[in-house]
Amino acid sequence: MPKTATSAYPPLRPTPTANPGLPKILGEFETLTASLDYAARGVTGFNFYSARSELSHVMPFRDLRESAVNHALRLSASGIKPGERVALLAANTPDFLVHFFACQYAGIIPVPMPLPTAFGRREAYVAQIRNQIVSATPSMLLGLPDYLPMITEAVEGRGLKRISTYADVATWTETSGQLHQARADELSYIQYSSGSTRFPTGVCVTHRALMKNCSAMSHAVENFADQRAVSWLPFFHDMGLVGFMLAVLASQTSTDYLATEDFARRPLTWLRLISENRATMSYSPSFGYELCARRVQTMPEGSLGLDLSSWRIAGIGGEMIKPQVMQMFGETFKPYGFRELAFNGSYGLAECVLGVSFSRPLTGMTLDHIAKDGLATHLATPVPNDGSPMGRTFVGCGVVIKDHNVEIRDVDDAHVLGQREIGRVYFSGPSVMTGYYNDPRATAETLIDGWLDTGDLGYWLGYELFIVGRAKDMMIVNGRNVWPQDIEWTVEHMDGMRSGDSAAIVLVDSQDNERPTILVQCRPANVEERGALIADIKARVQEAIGILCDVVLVPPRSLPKTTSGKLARGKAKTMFEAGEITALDT
Amino acid sequence: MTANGEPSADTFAALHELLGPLNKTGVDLKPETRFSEDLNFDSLVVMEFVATVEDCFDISIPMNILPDITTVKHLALAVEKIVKADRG
Repeated sequence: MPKTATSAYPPLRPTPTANPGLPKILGEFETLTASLDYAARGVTGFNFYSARSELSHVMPFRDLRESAVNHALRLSASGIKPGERVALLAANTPDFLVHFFACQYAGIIPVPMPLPTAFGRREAYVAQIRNQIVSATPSMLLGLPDYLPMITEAVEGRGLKRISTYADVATWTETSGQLHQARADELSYIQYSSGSTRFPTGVCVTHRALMKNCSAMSHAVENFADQRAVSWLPFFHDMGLVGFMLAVLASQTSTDYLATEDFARRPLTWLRLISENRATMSYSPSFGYELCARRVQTMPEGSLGLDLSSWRIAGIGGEMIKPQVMQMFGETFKPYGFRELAFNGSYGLAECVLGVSFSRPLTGMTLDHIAKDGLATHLATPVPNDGSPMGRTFVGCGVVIKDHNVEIRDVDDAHVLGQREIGRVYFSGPSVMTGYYNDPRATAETLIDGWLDTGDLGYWLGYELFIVGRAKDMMIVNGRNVWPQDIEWTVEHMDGMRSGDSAAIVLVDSQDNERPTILVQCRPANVEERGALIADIKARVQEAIGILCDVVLVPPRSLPKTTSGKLARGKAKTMFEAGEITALDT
Repeated sequence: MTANGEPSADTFAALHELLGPLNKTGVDLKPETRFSEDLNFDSLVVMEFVATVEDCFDISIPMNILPDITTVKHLALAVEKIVKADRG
């Protein structure tokens, strides 16, 4: 079990970076359990820190394996059979990790569940959990005592055999039964980080796909013997779960954790950990870098005492990369030894386990300035970077990981495109998911002849992949996936609204910020009523979805429909941008 | 916390002051002011605000109570409860 800091013991020490006597293997294992068996032979492991960067738990991989095996036997003895699912509340705690790996040794399929993150919104959170439970049909749910009342409400009537706390499992009977021998083609876990919250789709990841992706990613970021990772990313997202729990373990890399909520409250603790532990690799969506840079601006200059010179892979992923934000971070932290060359643009998605492409380490960001009309003309035409509103800057996402392929295909006739031609991004190779759990329709729409339709739009510049937007409708707001259907459903269930009255789209403002926007067909002619309607819609969407949207009222019957009568969302966006749909006076 | 479950004027005044710079919608701050609907707080602003409240009252606010906090009054009551528990 994890060791806990108390005054009776000498001060805790984090697991070392170096692993003398155990050659580094970069994920070349058949199964996740095999990778933990190997890592457990060394001295590296996971370390958990408090919001004030005090070490609270140390869990060498050796101890993690021992606890996981022990709890695997308890889970098996409780009657759960291999192949059954267990929902795990994915807190940044040692308990979550122990039980995730216990499932692996028992042949049980863990399903990480999200934590709540905002004021109010209890109903929305409970609904999200319930929808995931309906999709994954787990036999058991394990969580933290503080959250169990809310979770129990969410899973009521779903036929779970047992709902329990992590701590409770330690008291269950342990049998001397056999551990499950995982096979490469069995599922290792199911991840719900894509899909709408109303109709979630669980990505099925096999041991083989996981190991292939972990291995390819570790090679891409040149995970040598001096690598040490720091992460505050949540474990219910692919970047946190795979990038900073599974891939680091599969490469025997010591990793220091800060809980996501502690990062959000005190973002500079992230940088303090990197500095103090001489970490080399850490990732964040753009907004994490932005939070840090903003926080420092309110502090006296030079007061931080940070040394960020060890940071070799400052990874950026999870949403469209904002170059100005990254440059602001680079300049702010240059006096603290931060190297802008460490910025590493990358691209990935849970359907490919995690990583698709990475920049070469220590080459910095590749910026490309292209004409803004590229999305319409399907050509990424270079323009001078003179701040003209006709241009937009994109950040390169690096080169495709080894043993995998990317094709960019024409949006209309699917022929394979060449340099600077914008099209849909397709991915193939051993780390593509086997499908969405229990959802053959969604699977068939996404996996075609061994190629995964990522739903993203991009182009090639040399061997580097640039992502410019999404062909599918998903929006990404502060690293979170938001589906326009969920927003529209919310609006259209308000009083006086009808189905088809709204279109949720993303508009890009003059500062290159992506702004989620709802076009709403409006009947009231009175300007005051319109103002109240806008406020109501904003508030309702904020409460139900948790994001702040711009609301634009448009005339009745102005939103375009497809031939089958569904909203033509993409067309609505193009028409609005072209001025063919005009906003009503408000 | 007072017997009738009303937060003290001091707690509310302190929260009022912390909310000032984050009040981008310019609504009048009242005990029934809602964080999402009236102040348009997104999850990042919420966390920044939680940190300032924790610093001001020298407490730690557990994340699991956030979903049940809709208004300023809810937060004031929660803060008083935590302060009382911490100070014995």
